[in-house]
Amino acid sequence: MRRCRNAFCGLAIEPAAIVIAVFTLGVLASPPAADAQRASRPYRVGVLHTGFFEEIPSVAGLKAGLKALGLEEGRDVTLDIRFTRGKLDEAPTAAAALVKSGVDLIFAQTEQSARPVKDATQTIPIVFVEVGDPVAANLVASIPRPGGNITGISSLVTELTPKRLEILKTTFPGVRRVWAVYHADDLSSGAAAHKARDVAAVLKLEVVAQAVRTNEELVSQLKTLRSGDGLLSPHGLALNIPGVILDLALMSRWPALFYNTLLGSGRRPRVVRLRPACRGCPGRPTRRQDPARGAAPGSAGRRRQQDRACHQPKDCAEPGDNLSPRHPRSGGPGDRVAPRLACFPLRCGLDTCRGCFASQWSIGTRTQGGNGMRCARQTLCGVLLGALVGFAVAGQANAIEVGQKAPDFTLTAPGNRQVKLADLLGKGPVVIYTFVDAFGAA
Amino acid sequence: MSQFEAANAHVVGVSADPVAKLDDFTKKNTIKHQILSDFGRKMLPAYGVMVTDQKSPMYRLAKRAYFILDRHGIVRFVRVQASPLDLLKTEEVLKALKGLGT
Repeated sequence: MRRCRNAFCGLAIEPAAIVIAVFTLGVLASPPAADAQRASRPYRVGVLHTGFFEEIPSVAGLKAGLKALGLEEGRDVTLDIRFTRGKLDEAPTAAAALVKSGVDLIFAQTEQSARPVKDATQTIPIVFVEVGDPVAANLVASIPRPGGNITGISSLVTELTPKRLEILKTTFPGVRRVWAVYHADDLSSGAAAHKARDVAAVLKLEVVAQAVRTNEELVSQLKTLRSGDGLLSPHGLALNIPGVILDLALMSRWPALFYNTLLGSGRRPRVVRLRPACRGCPGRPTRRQDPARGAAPGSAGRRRQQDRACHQPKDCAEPGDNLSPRHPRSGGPGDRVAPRLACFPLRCGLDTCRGCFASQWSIGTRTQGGNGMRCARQTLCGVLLGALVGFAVAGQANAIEVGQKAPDFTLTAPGNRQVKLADLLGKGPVVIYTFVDAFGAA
Repeated sequence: MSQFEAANAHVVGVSADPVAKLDDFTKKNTIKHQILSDFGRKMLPAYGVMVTDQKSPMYRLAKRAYFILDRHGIVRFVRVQASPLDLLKTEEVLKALKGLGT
């Protein structure tokens, strides 16, 4: 099994975005009093994430960002990493444990980690990343003024939803109805699904926003899919809905659109292989983005100019107009971390993306410090990637036929017991069915 | 399930998911019959019921399919579903089983 060795290769959006979080962290940690304290003991940063192993891309990005700030792990800062393996009910316990351990700051990945942490403490500063819609998730009062002891980065899930829908429609013109299935406790995805429903008419689509709580509900919802339907994956990993939708999309050719979170969550590394290295993409730098360059001062004015060029309203495709930056350009502390969305003409983007649908860059954030238009194209590349997943089914062998002798097999039963076909035969006929566990057995 | 026992048939579910995952799955859904893991992907391709993907060689999952073998190991019934969500009705499988006359 080939694994992705580079922590960033799964998900390029995160490291760039996380650098801002780390800078925020630096800001939080920089008062003189804290400096005095720092001499005596390293900062203790608590990390809570929903991944399946300790080192997920967000954590790798955090570490890289800290290093770029000159904070060495062990000497200046220690990380206390807790992870919940996608289980929602474990997050409150883990959050309480982190608070109790007296960390100086908590870094929470996704809404499912950030909300329990917010409930657990009103005093310890919290920085979140990969939250689909922090306002809808009740994490912050507003983007420009988050308030309380919490700040972080929005993945702009709600804001990008119209564009995602548009891309789904452009890529699969036959799609008439789109299912936005999400976990009832995943507030960001809920907000995104409702946004999708609100803008559906513009794209002549019908959007069914459906909340589920159990795997059975999810499967029974998916069973009602019919020809001409598409799927909009939720942002959160609760119930592994994105994984189930991905499996379904690959097996049954349902068009489906995903968030990059899926690629970077460490949940299903195989998906990473759907992102070929981007070569021959016009105007792209060939080297990987250096996370330290992301928020480099000095080029801010130039960047603003390029942003403006990229944001020309006349370039926006119709539903894309919904995506004009809604955050004020200056103002409260939230402005520092609020990513801005690039609005761009679809026609120039699609051609670019056919050649290079792997974006190493960040969706909608300005952190890359690159050319605005280029960033926009790659934004589309990143978004389109999900749509392309639906094309990926190939090479299906024919099943064995009636009258053939069944090939023998040795398989593993729960408890690591080996079972042979020969053991099952002899007593009577054998009924064998094959299944994927997420879709239920019978 | 008791109907299958009455027909003296052995029911086996095979999935490409790892054993531990299936173990959880069996307990959670209180499944009585035998569930087997083909994590090594040996049985599924031999029976031609594996979904593969050229772009992503790691993507190899079981299709939803039903086989009935007689006591000598000869295939008597094959049904491969187009969607992994399409379950075959128990009655249909039973009917096919009875049709064997074994």
